Amino acid sequence: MFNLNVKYILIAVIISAFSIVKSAAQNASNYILLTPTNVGFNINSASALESTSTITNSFKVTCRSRNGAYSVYLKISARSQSTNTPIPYNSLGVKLNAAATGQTGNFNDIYLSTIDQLIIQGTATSGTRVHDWTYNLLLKPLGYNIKPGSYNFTLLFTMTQP
Amino acid sequence: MLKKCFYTVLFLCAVFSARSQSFNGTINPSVNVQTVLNLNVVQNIASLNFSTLDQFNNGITVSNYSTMQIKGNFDWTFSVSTTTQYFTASGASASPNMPASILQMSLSTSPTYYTLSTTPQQISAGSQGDETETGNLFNVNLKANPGYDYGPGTYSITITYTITTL
Repeated sequence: MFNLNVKYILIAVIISAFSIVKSAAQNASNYILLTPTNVGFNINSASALESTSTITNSFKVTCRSRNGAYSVYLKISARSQSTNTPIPYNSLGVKLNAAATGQTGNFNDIYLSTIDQLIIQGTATSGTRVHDWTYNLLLKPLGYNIKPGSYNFTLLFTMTQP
Repeated sequence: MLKKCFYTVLFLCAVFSARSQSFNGTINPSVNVQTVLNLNVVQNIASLNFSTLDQFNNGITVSNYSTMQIKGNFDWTFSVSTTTQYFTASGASASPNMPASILQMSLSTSPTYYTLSTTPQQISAGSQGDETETGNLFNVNLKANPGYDYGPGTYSITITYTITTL
């Protein structure tokens, strides 16, 4: 009986340790790669303060998932500013501009928060192929209560393989 | 038996967790907000016409001469000045030396009039916000009193309204 318990525990520990290593590191067959082209808004006019700003083809999400289908979630993981009036989290958004070839995309405007939101569901990739998803970056009208200054965000993309 | 079940569940959980993998990436968007001040002037009166003795004796006061709509992301001041020291005169008998100082301006809500010149004079100040912010929508009154010192003619001058960050 004791030997059986030890056996179960050892197997469980080994598999758990293995899973922790795999979930923390990208590898050649499974990864997510972010390529920003232009992710900087410059708000310098009344019209820019009063309307939604869009940076077209702002960044690209490249996914390789040879292990199987995958999902990509997005949230704001950090923000900072040079003033005492932060820009609300949900002012920043993304919009899919071009889905990966052969994939179905969600082309709705998705405004962000500090909680993960599903933005991509893709099928498994094969061979050396990758899926490239191109996004626009959106900024809601800031209005006149946000003081002049610099505002920075960190967007965290998480690719999962169920 | 109970222990065996526990370890079986533990084993299955471990197997399940091993299949669930995640990979991360980040980007760092930035927003650079510059100082924006916007002034919209609605000119309510195009010109003044002096034709009566009373007008020459006492001048003409135009209430709500212009309407100012200010919006900005910074507190502001509002100043008024003229671009030239003298009016531009036209007409055979017009005088070339009618000064900007025959004009005075005030907020429509204030009894204090400021004599105009090429030097900007602050007549109002306000807070960041759009035109719905208190003080960001107001009228100015204009008083013109040339008296009898200048000949008949047509006179023009440019009034400059300036908003600056406080």
